[in-house]
Amino acid sequence: MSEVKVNKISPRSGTDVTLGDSGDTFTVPTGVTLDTSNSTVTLPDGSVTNAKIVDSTIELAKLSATGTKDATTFLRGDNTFAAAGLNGWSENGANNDLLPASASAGIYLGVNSATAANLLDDYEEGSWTPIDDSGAGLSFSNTSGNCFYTKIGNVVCASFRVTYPSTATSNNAHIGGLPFTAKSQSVNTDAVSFGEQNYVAGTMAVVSQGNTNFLFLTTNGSSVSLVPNSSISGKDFRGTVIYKT
Amino acid sequence: MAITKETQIGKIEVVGKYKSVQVRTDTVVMEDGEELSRKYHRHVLACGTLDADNNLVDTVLTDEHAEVQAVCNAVWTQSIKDAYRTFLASQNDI
Repeated sequence: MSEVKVNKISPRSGTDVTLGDSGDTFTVPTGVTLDTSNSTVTLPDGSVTNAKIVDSTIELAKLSATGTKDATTFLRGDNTFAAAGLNGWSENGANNDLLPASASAGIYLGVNSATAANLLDDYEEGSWTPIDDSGAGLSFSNTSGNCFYTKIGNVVCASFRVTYPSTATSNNAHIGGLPFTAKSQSVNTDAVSFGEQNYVAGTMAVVSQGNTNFLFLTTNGSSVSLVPNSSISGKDFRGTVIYKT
Repeated sequence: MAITKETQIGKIEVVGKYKSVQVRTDTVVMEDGEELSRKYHRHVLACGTLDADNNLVDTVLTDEHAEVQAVCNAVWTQSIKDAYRTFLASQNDI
């Protein structure tokens, strides 16, 4: 093997120096350093076909992409830094709950195109206070700490306990104060289920459509009658109202 | 370290053709200004109730928050009250 030792190779004329011919191989032994720190070396597109870059040497700053680079974004295939996750939704910090930026945003269920009837966009839990809606101005007892609601979509489930005061008023019994206004429709349909009550067996109650109360009913097997306050004087009712908004 | 509790008007919603006003009152517990818990309580205001002669008695709003009063007074027009009175009168039907 012949060896040439020089400190600098320069073109004899012009600016180009050619190393070897097509098919030649130039070997750079292990331990050799190519120091290009004082210049910019341009490798033509497609000229590097097999290279090994030392681990952990490519910094984010070396990437050229549009968008904002920070802890909340990631690099997409179209060379764009984009927000992680779904547009308009976050993870509520460390809690990992899916949280929309808009309070009216929801999730479509059971469809693959936006259909209003399939949009679940409301959920809420809270408490409510039953009040006398008969017009007699009665004050109920045992309501505190016993009346809660959960609203899922357009369905409200409201639990309650109401104890009527002693009363001789003849107004038809209406318990009001429901946490949401019931849906307006032709007739009253949504029911009250009593878990416990000490009035007559078979007592019913139905939610007033378009309103925030329910009224007491009894039946003799053929007709249905409203129940006056006097009939349920001192009586205790516990149950659940399920209705639509 | 200061624990505080306050109530806020969380939501005021006007719903339905009779302009019911749904009010959500939030009870918020905070420690040094950071929210620890939030509980909801709801009530709904209609523009009135019927008396024994089927006249509409206006709902008293004096105990309501000023924002709630403002909304109620804005949406409860006389035509709304008239329509609601008619609706309530028909409600005696089971």
